[in-house]
Amino acid sequence: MTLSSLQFARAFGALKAALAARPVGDHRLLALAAFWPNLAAHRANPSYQSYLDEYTALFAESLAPEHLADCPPENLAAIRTLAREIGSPEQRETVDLALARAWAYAGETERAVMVCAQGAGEVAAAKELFSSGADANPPMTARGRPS
Amino acid sequence: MHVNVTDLLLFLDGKLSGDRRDVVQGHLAECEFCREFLEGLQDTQVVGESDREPIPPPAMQLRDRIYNEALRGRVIPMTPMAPAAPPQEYLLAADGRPEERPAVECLREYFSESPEMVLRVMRSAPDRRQWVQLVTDDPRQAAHVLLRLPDIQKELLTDSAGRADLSDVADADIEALKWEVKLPDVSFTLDELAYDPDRTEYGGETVLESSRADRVRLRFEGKTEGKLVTLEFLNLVGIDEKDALRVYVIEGTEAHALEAPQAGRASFRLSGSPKSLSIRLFKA
Repeated sequence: MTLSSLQFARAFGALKAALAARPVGDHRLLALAAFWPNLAAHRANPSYQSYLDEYTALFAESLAPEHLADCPPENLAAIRTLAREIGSPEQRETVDLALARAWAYAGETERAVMVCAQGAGEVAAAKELFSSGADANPPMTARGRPS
Repeated sequence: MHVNVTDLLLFLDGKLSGDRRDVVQGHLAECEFCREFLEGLQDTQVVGESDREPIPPPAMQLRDRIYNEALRGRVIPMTPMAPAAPPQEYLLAADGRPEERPAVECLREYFSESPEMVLRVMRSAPDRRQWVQLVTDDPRQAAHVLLRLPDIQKELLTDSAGRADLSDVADADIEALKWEVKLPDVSFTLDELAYDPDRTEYGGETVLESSRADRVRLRFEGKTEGKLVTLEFLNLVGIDEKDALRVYVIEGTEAHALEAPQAGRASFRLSGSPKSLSIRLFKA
């Protein structure tokens, strides 16, 4: 269901009111990410550009590394999808780093490396690394062991 | 992750299917943010929109054509939209300082329900720019229409994206003014403007006709000092000689406001080498 222009205006107003009640934090980013499909549905209509301008400004002011620090990877993945749609290269990098860090903390080394590799445009090299059986995160005890 | 707006609207209408409804209900029980968002939607929802039966495309085209025909020349008063009230919230020290105002913000919003359109007065802080944006479901309806400010006797023509610059309007006025949208009485479009850019001296003419049998003759004269275009209005349905007309010719991103046509004629010089021209006539 695509919202009509009036429905959209009212939904966007409700979003801004809900965001205004939470000046900082990852809630804002997640709320923006949840709203994105409604705006994306109107992206081909140039008369919706002012919403995109305003939405992009709200995203930019909400995005700070400290707001992403406590986000679980699945929420960061949603924010990353949004950053890839509307974010600047610096904003995309901020989210990429936060997601890579979150996967690394969760012990998902391969996923963490893949996020970095996607950001650097080195996906093929990263895939090759993992398919060759190389351990991207060898245990510390294995290093320097005499052969 | 929060619930998306479409699901919340369907939930409000009681139209969400079993499993999804349970998921949304479960999320709302836990998530204060989505509860507040839902309350905001409840206050402002346009009731009954999702009850409509889908219309088959040919019928939709016919409906749009008849509807747009009926809208010709209409003046649409815009009603101020009440901003959604922010939920009461008590900030804790751990929430940090409130953010500064966003770089781009909407100062005021106005709407019309029939035809459905939204007018947004926008400000961009970094470049101190103000503009107004007309939002419509069909972008053609927002393009090249007049936005009127009757309080200060001002008119602005929107561009192809439904935007108009507000730099000429004083800051103090912007938030207090009444707005009207004036749709064109007659529209013509010349899709293929053919001329030889290497020739300086040439001439040619073409007649454009609207679906309502309005007719205009365009005469092109290429000269060393520029390209002169003369419009001669041959037939304008519902407009007589006594009516004062505003004529705009849109050349790419530039709009030429023509003097009131004398004896049904008006002329202007093309600024560039456009591939198409749009002509809009507004009865004053």
